[in-house]
Amino acid sequence: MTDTLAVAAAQVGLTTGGWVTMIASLVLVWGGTYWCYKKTLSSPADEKVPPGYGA
Amino acid sequence: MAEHKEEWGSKLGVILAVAGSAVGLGNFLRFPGQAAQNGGGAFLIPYFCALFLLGIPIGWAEWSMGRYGGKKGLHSAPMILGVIGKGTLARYLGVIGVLIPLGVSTYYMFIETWTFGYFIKYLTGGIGIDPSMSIEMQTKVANDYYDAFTGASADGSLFSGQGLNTFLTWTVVFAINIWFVFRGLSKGIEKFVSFAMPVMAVCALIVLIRVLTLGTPDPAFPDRNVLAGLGYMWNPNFEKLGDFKTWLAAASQIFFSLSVGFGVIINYASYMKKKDDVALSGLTASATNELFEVGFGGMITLTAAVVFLGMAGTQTAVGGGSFKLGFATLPVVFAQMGSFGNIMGALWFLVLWLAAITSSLSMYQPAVAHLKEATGWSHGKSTSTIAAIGTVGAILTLWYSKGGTFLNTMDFWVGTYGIFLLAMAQIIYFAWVFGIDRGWKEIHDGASIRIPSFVKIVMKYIAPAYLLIVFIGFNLQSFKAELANATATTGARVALLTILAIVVYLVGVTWVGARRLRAAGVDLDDTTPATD
Repeated sequence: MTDTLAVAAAQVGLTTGGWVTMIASLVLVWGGTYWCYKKTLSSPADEKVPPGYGA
Repeated sequence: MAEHKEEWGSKLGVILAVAGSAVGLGNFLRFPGQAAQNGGGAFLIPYFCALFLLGIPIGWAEWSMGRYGGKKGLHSAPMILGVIGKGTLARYLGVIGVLIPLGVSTYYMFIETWTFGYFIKYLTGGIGIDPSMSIEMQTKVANDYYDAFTGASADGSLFSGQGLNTFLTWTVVFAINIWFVFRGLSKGIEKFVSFAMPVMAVCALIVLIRVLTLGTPDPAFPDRNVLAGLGYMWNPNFEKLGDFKTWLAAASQIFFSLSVGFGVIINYASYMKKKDDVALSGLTASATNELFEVGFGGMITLTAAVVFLGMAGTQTAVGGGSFKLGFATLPVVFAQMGSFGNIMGALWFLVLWLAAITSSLSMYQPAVAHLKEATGWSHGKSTSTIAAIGTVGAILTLWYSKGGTFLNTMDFWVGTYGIFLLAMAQIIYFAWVFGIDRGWKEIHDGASIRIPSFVKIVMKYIAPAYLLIVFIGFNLQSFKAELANATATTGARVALLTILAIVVYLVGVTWVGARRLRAAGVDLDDTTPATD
């Protein structure tokens, strides 16, 4: 089965299904990471704790 | 005089530290192989289901349990799980949360040694592959080098002759790790990951751009091109979704990749401030891991292999396992890249080394925290003691190198089985004993995002059930064979004895710690909720 798929992949390159799953996955991980860091970095700065006072 | 209270220097620091712990060799070597063998692009469907139904929810539970423990001044998995699970059984089950990182560290630094050794070798001229030879000969040279460097020929071979090179490389890697752990959380681990994670991302991006612009390097083989490589990884085979093994493989990949149930997140989160955002931090750390796994690992490794070795060569490499793919196949790929080959090889193994060290740095910290908390010892004394235990474990890994018997046994019983057990204990105690309503409030305390309320149901019912099904499937698939393997060789038997010795030590330390903390008036059974 895997051999057949591999040969098919070599013949057709990246199929429409391949493009769709690849682009969708990349948009999800790159977009998700961008959103998370943007949100993290835009939230209020860490509170300053005077020396000697822990969390 | 009391030691300075440890805490993270910034909210980004803890996110990068947890993400660094999660991003490892599996992101670049195991994930693409798993995807290609289990339906290509279709594999991403069960993969993302597992991410949203298993990985991220359990991660949130772990983050909030850790921060809750920190509010009570506790930092070790046994004491924190004891608080969450309100009793002795939970506390001693929490021992698994120290056993896992400490046990895994014994062999993980050996693998990290390979990445560092290859990185240095590529900086100084490569591993001796002559690109004018046939691909078969080049593969043989790469395999021979890999076998010699990892001591695959005989037990004890890394302690004499050429093997000493590996041993010396290990001492350097080990010393670097201990140095950063010794410097402490904020000045050591946080400082290093804040530098290493961006560097790793930039290096991975350079390698990715180079791979995607390879085109069709050999006109004699027009089918060996970038699109064919991407097709091998991403073309979906939806028939595979009907196979339970595909869902099992996806859940296992997510599970091990995110480092949930590993004992690190619960420890790291305990050093957060009371109102730090665990919801967004947990999500950001998971997203970072996914970026490296899907965004880089899914695009680089197999694409490069197909472009230079063709489909048949790549399939053989994937079938040989993650390590062979990374350390024996990709060096052949780099040899085909001409004058750029050694630079790309150095960059690639630098990425792998950074991925490995940001993970290994997190492995001693839980054990150091456990010892400090239980005995009241200084950070230096606790670090030295854990380093001594780690050294014994590492020496055993290096000695029983033939067939990786010690490594494989440790990996299965501690690095795989233990993770399942701890994750199940954690999510059940969190959702059913601590209480999902209280837990939900705890996750949202200080959070800048609102988690959709269906995740509450996921945490209480779906994640434990999903985990149980995956655990049963995993047992049916691997338990019997692993049990036989565990007693088949001396290396495996020594590994089992080592695990037993570490468990006895950790139970003893926990017992001492519980007595000492109780005498000091610490509420170990959570009779009174922690105050903000």
